[in-house]
Amino acid sequence: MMDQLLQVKNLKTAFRTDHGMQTVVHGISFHVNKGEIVGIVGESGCGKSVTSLSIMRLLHDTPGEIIDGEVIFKDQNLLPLPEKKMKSYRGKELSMIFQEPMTSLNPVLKIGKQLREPIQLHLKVSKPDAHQHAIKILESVGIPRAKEIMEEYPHQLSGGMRQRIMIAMAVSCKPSLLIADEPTTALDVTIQAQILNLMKDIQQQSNMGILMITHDLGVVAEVCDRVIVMYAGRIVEESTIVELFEKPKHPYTKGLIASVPKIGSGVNRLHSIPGTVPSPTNMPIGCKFAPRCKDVLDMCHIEEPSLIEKDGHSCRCWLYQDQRQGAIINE
Amino acid sequence: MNDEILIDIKNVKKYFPLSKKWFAEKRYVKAVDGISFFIKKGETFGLVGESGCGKSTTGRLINGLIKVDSGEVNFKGTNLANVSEKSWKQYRKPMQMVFQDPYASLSPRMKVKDILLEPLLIHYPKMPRNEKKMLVTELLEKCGISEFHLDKYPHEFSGGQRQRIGIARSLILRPELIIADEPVSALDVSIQSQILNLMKDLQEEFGLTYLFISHDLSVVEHISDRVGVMYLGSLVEIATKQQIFEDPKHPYTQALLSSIPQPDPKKKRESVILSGEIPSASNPPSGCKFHTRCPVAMDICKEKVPELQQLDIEQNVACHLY
Repeated sequence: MMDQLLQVKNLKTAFRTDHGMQTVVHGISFHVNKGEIVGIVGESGCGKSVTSLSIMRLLHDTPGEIIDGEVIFKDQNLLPLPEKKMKSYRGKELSMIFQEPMTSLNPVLKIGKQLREPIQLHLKVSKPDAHQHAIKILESVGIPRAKEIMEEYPHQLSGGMRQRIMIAMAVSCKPSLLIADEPTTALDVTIQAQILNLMKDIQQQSNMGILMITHDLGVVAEVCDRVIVMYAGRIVEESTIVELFEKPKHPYTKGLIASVPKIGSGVNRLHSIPGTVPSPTNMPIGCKFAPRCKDVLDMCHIEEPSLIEKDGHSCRCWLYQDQRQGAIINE
Repeated sequence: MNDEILIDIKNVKKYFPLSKKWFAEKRYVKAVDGISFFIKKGETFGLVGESGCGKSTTGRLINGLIKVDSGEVNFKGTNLANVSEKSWKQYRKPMQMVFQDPYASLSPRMKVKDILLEPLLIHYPKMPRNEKKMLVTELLEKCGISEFHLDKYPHEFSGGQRQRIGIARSLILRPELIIADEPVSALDVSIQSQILNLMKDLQEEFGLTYLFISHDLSVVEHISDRVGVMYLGSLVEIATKQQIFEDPKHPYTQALLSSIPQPDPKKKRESVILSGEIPSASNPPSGCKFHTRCPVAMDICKEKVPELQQLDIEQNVACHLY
C-alpha cells in the first residue's frame, strides 16, 4: 500500500512497576493513510495515550518502555533511530497536540518565542523570517491580532486560544502526520466546535494524516474517517466510521455507543456496561472484556480471541470467529 | 411530582472582588448577576452553561457554602440569605451536595464507613452505634458498594465507585434536595451511564429533588425535567426539557445545542458555530451579554439588558427577539 503514512506493527509498551514490568499496550497494529483522520477511542486506562506517546517516542518522562514492535513512518522504522535523528522527525514530520493547553505551553516564554523555535530549528530560516512565518500560521488558525499575541504569555490567553496556539505550533512545519491526544476535552462545547472545524480545514488544505485520540464518540463521529476501539491495551474493533456506528460488532463497542445519552432519544434508563475496566495487575484470562460482557460464551474465559478482519471490519470476539468449535456465529 | 416549590431563588447576585489596589477603582467578577428560578419538589432541574458562567457558584450559593450578596434564596419558605451562621446547621441536613471530582471530595485518610458515619455523628449524636452502622451498610448497598468494602480507604476504589460513595454520603441524612455539581464529568462513558441510572433510581426511592449542574447537554437532557441555561452570570432561558431541546428560543441555547458533537456520522450538523470567545465576567459586554457572539444581534441588544419574559407556559427567555 503506497498511501500508508504510518504503520504500527505489533507495538508493545510496558511500565516498570513494583510488581515488575506491566504490559499496557499488548501488541497493537494499525495504519494511518495520507490525508486520513483515524480515531482511537477507549476509556481511561485502555492504553490510547500510551500508544500515541510510543509513536512519538516520548515515553522517557514516564516509567514506560517500548518492548517490542515497529513504528514505520514513510518506510522508516522510528523505534531504532538514535534520539538525535528522532528529534529531526518530531515537530517536522510528526507533531502532537496535547489535551491540556496550559501545561503544554511554557508559561515563562512568550508565545512568539515558543512558535519560532520549531520553525527556526526545522525549516532553517532566520529569526525575522521565522517571526513572519509564525504570524502567518497564527492568522491561519483564526487568531485575531496575531502580531500582538506573539508578544504575550500563555496565561494571558483563554483555553480555546491556547489550544489554537498549540495547533499553530504543531502545524507550523507542515507535518505529514498530526497526533492529537484529546485536543478538545478541556474546552467548552462552543469552542470545541470551533477547534474541530479548524482541524478539519487544516487537514483538507494540507492533506496530512491525523491520529485523533479521544474518549468522546461524538467527536469521533464528527471528524474521523476510520476508528479503532481499544480496551485493556488491545484493539477490539476497527472499521470505517459509518460502519462502526451502524453495525458495531464487538459487545464493548455496542455497549459504549449505547451508553452515550442521545438528545431526543427519550429513553428513561441508559444502557450501561456493568463493572469496571480490569486493572493491569489483575487481568482476566481469556477475553479481557468477558467479565463485563453480556454475550459471554464459555470459551471467552479460557482463551483470548484474535483480531479477525472481514470486509475491512476487524473485531476481536469469539462471537465472530466461526472456525472455533462451540462459537456461535451471530451476524 | 406535585407543584410544591422547594427552592425559590429571587434576583440573587454574587460579585467576587478582584485584586484590591489602593485607591484604585474596585472591580468585581460578576459571577452570578441577578438570577431567579425555582425548583419544584421531586423534579430535576438542570443548570447548563459553559465554564465560568456561574453555574457552580449558583449551587454553592443555595447551600450556603458561599454567602449571597443580595437577593433571596427561599427554601421551604425560609429565606436562607438571612439565616445566621449558627442556625445554618439545621438547613444543611435537608440539602446535600455531590461534587465533581470523586478523587478530591473524599478524605483519603478516612475509611468508607467513617466517611458515611461522620454526618450521622454530627446530626444524630444520640443514635445508637449499631443503628448507625445499619443505616450506613444499607445505604452503601443501595448505591452498589457491598458491605465487604466498609473498611477500605478511598484510594482503593475506582472513580465510578468513589462517586457512588460520594452519592451515598450525600444521602445518609435523608436530604430533600441534592445539589449535584458535574457529578459525572470526571467519569468514563460506561461508568457515567451507571451513575446516571443510579441517581434516577435513588430519586424514585427517596423522592429526591435534584439541582443538576453540568456543562454536558446530552447528560442534562437525559436526567432533567426542567432546564436553565446560563451565560456569563445570567439565566438566558428556562423551560421544560422538551421545550429547550426541541424548540430552543434563545440564540445562545440554539448555538449550544448545535455544537454538541452527535455520535452519529450520518447526521452532519448544520451547526451554528459561534465566533469569538466567552467574554470575561469581570468586564461583561453592555446590554445583552451575548450580543458580541450572537448571530442575530440587533442594535437594541448593545444597549438594553433583556428581561426574562414568559413566552409560553414554563418557557422563559431573556432576548430582545421575542
